[in-house]
Amino acid sequence: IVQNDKGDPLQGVSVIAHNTRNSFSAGAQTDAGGVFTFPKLPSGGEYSFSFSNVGYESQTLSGYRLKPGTTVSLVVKLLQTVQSLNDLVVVGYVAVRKRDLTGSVGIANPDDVKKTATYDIARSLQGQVAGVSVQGSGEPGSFVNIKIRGVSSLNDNNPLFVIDGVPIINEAPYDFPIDDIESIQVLKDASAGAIYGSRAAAGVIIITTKKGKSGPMQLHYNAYYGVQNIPKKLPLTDRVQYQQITDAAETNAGLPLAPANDPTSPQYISNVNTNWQDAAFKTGIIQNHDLNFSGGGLNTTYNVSLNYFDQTATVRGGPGEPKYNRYNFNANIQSKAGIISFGARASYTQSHKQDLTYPHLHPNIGNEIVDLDRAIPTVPVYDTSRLGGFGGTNQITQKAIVLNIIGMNNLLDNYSNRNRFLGNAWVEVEPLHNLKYKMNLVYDWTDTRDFFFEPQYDLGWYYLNTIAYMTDTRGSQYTGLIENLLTYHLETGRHTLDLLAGQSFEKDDEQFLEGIESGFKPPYFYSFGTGDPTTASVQSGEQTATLSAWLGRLNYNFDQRYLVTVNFRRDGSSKFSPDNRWGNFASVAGAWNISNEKFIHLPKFINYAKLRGGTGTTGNQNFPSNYAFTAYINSNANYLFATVPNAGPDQVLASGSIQTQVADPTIKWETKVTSSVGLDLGLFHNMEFTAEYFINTSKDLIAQPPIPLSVGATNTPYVNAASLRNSGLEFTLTYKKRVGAVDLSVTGNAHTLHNKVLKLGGTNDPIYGAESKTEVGHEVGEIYGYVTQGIFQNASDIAKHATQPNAAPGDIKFKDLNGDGVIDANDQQYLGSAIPKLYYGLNVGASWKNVDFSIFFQGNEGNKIVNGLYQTLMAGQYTNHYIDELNYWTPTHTNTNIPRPIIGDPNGNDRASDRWVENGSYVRLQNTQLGYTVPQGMLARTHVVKTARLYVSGQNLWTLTKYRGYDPDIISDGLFSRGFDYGSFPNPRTVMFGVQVGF
Amino acid sequence: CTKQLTQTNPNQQTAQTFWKTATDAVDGVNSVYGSLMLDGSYMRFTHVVLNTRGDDATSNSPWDQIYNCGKFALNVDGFAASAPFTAYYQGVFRANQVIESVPPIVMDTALKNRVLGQAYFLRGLYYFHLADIYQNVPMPLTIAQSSSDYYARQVSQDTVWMQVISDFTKAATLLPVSYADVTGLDANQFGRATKGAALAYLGKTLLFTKQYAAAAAQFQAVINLGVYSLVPNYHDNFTEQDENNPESIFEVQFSRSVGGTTQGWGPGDPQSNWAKYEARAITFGPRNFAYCDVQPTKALYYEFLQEPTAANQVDPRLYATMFYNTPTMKVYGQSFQATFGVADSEVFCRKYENDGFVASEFVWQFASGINSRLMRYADVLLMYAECLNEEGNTAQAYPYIQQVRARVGLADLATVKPNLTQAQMRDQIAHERFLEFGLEGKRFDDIRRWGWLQDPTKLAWLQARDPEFKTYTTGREYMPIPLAEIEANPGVIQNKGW
Repeated sequence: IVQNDKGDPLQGVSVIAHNTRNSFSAGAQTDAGGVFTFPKLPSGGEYSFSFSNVGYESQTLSGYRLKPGTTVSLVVKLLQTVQSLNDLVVVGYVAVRKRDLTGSVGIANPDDVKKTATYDIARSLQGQVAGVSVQGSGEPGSFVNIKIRGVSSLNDNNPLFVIDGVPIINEAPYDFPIDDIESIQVLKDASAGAIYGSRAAAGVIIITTKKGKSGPMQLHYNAYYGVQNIPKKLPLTDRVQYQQITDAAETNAGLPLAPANDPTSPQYISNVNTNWQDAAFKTGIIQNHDLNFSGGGLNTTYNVSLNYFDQTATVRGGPGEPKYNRYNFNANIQSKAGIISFGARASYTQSHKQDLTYPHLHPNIGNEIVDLDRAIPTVPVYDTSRLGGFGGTNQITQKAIVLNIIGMNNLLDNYSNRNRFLGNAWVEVEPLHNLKYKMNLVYDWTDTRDFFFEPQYDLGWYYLNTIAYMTDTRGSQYTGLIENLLTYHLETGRHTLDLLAGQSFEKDDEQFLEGIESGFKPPYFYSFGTGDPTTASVQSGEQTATLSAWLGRLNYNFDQRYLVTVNFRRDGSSKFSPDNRWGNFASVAGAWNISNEKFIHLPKFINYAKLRGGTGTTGNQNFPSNYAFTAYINSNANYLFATVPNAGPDQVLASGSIQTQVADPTIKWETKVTSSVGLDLGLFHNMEFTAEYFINTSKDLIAQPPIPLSVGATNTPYVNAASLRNSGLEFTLTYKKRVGAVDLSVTGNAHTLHNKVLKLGGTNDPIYGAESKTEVGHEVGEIYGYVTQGIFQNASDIAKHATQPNAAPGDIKFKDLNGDGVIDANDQQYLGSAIPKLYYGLNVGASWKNVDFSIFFQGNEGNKIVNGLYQTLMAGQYTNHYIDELNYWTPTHTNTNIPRPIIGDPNGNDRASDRWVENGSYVRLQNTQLGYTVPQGMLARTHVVKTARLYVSGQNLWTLTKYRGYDPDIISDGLFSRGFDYGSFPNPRTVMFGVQVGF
Repeated sequence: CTKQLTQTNPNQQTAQTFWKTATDAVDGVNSVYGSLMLDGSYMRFTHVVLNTRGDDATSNSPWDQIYNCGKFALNVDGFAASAPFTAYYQGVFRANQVIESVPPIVMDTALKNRVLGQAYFLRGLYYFHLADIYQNVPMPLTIAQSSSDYYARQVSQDTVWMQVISDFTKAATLLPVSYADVTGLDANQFGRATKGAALAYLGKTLLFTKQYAAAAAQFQAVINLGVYSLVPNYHDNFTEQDENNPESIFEVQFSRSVGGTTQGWGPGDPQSNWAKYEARAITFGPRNFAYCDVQPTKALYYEFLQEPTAANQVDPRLYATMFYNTPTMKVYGQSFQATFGVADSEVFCRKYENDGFVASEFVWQFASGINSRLMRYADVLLMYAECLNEEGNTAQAYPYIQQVRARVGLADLATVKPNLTQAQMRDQIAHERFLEFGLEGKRFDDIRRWGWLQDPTKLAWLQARDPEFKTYTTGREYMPIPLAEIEANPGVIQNKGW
């Protein structure tokens, strides 16, 4: 029986029995009662019994001689370890003990991570690790933005995910269920990540999945089921208020009133008053089921899991409403025979994502949330007189162009399916003691289908579709990877040396085939050939990239006091011209275990201290073009000519070919130089503290800065455009304490981030985004716009002010920042930072007897958000308004800061200005959970259920923020317009119930 | 593995392996035309920009980029400012490639000359639009090979006009009168630039730069070619049925049936499925049958009523130009008054609409196939008359004006208004041009080059006819250089007034 120090049984403890005489070994695991058995151990000995479990100090009992026909009973108490210094941390191909780390590695607690109900591993890391920032939206299955130590690239800032040693090349790892995670490590600097060379520039997230343990098969079922709602509604105008404002806007512009808003018109609408948010928002469901089998013999272990995840929409929309579901199968096996060990892993994922609707005819107009809020109250949700049955505006009577998003979601079918197979197999041979050769083969294949069907419908003015349209795009991509690694471990006296040398080659290929057809007539069949065959067309393409690398690493440890790590990697990429193909990346890091130094006597409360630092370079070739260094001919630049003059439409196509894009042949590797110093402390035997300062400089960043329109190219070419610097401080504190019968744990982390642009393109010209400017000496995507100075009250007010074209009384007065007497584009300034001054997360957990409780706060402090949704709702045009607009200026209502509404907005009241810049700080109760572990006594009677825990959990329950939008946790482009919230889909509030059962 | 590091693009030919054959040369020049049919050019927005600013058209569009265009109140970072600019420079980029890369190709000299002549013509045409609409612009004349070549210097409008004159002059010497007479890959392909087109545009450029004698010589040369004539039915100039007719000197080809079916809005990279549609019809068409973003002014309507035909009928051009409130008026087959009410006095665009061929523009959506007639023989005649008048030969102008009037049955001007002074004749030509070319995007160019915006009396008169002129301010007779160009190209400064 294995117990903890309180005498409670410990389940899942791995027990190895080892006969020291003949090397016979056997494994077992404790059950829910803490009981382990070895039914038929061969007699003899001496035997030793080793006990190990995560979170506990390992123990070995030795000296047992077993006589035939007897039974031996052991009762073992394992001590909980608060400090994790002996935990193994995977850093690039091999695992080291945490105490031997030299680089910057953040470790997430998988139990905390798994409390977040989400489809995406990245999402679950929000607030869990210092230096990691996550931005996401509430759209099911949507992309999540994760950055380690800030923006380090102008393309892809998402870190490399390595799952069980396999770099996941294609897209975010949302194809993988969170339940399978055993551990997560975040490699934040070059010394930790350099071994991944070209991939590590944005950091590396290393995920190890669950492996089987020796012993009988264990069966676990974990599941949760929850409901989700959008926690906030914006105060928008109702019918009367809408009509009042829009009437005023037309009157101010000298236009006749739209009849639907004109009480004197027979077409005046007084009987429709749709609240679009009430009509659209609904309860969504989120659920996850995970079935896990694991076990194995002494030499072979296996783990198999099946997972199902499903999330439905929080906005209404019939069959087309956004949702996401995923099936996953994951199996691994590892085995050892003599000097050979080998293993394999296979996972298969099938996912279905119903996307938000973006009609193909109307690109870039809005998005689901913007369209929803702009919809006017005088349009009914349903209208049987229109084709399709949904309401819309009338061009003559209402003049407004708004989209009935409920109708559009119902009518359109827009989904993406993904099927992904990821397999890898490895074999390791140890021909000489401590000399190992390992070969690893990886094949990652994804098959995608993107389907879009737009039927004929009439959703009112502008949203009338007379031609049904379908596109169906099939794509596949694969990555093949082969790695050959040689490692050698040498221990002699006080010296420990680890060497790693290796080679890898990788090939990425992707291809697509897209069919397009229109002219379908109801009843619709979603297959090509059922529409108008003359409209059918097909397109396809393929691209390949290869990457070859040589890598090496040296770890040297002297007397557990001095540690040095040196990394080298040489990468060749097909994405660059032969002249610029190869890049060399190296790093060096060192650590000093102060607490092991005899001449230093630390105060007694410091039981561990380590100072570490390092510097190095990584490379990046991760930009989405495989052939960017060459200029190509576009053979689709066709035109047409007539064959007969003075006749009707009888033209024939004349093929046209020309270079339409420009390319920069000199493009080369991005490099990032990272430097960091850190201090790790163990205090009072129950606390761990880490503080770290980093400074990273990214050079030759590959980007597509805007080029003059006068070049005449249809693209912005990839060039080595910019240099950036990121620096910041990171703190992590872990504390565990037993207070009476209560076990308490607290984990907190916080980090700061400073970003500065050092160089930008060949000319250092700033890059502008949505109400943002990126300029040398400033942050990437700093918020930028005009400064308001109140409202012009009368003509003399305007005359006294700098010339502001088209200004009239009631319009916004913009500040003449450069004092030249004219308000123009030069009168803009920086209006705030989109990067928080502080990111933080706090996990508090407590358990008492069978009850456990945890609470997780997460937040940002000191950032600004441009509320683009508010801006569009305050435009004072034909679309619906935010309630604040009611307070608009009139000659008799002058004590206000809201300008007069006027159609056309000649003064540009709605332009980028400080009117839209808001405080983006927030504290969020991201997660809280209350669990109950069913007592063993009750379970014992079932003879089937060994363990059972039930929990209720809430997510996003409470937010403290001054932000006026739906949610301060926004997804933006993450780069140049990073502070711009244009209808980011709000994160839902979730309440859920879960079970974790072991059989 | 190192060998595997060389990956070639399986989808496209590299620029280095192109420009080797006569087919490459012809394919190359064909693509230069392609930039005429983008959203920013004649698919839609060049029509918007050229029309809304005149006193013949106005906008009540809900889209600010159209609504504000004729009110001289555009934002410098808006689509209306950037889309035409972008489209024209894409054309310039393509033309420059032909001009630079075709001469070394070993091929039939006559064909090579025609290819180069078309490239010069089209480059001239694109720069004509840039100077005419945007005033002072960058003027790249060679291909950008690497990132250091991206930053062409801004030059004065005069410098651009000189380049335009040079390009049209070269084109006129290289181009054939007709492609019916040639042999080669381009034989019998109508819609290609001809000698007549180059001469007419050369004359127009000279007229715009007030070189009247030189301009007159070009127009005289066009007339002397003897291949152009006015079509009897004025409306035939604006439908899909009589494209490339004898009156048409140069037009942009659009088609509902040739090419792909996905709107090729641009300005992105052309795709194989891009359609060859134009979107003016749905944009300008009448309320309830189209988006009605642009409408004729009542001033245009009333000016048509000033002079009945010799047979005392309403000028037939009124019917071809707009839908207006009269009991017999049909709009897309439906009664005007039943649709819009008896009292409605709104007028709507008919020119370049598919009325008579489809129940509403919404049925075809953006897929109209009507060619945009850029240069009509009627324009050459009236520009020639204007040159003669400006040169002091007022009396000689009469017959050329009368050719245009006679087609629609108007009485002989020499009889109705004999012995006009030079100044009176200017006004008469202005009136004739206003009616002949209503909604064809020529009026604002005329207003500007005649100096009316600087003449307080004329400006007040314009404001009375079209209230959109009330928000005109000095300098805004040119569009703003798009903010994107100013931001990305050091040294480019905004036109005065923006």
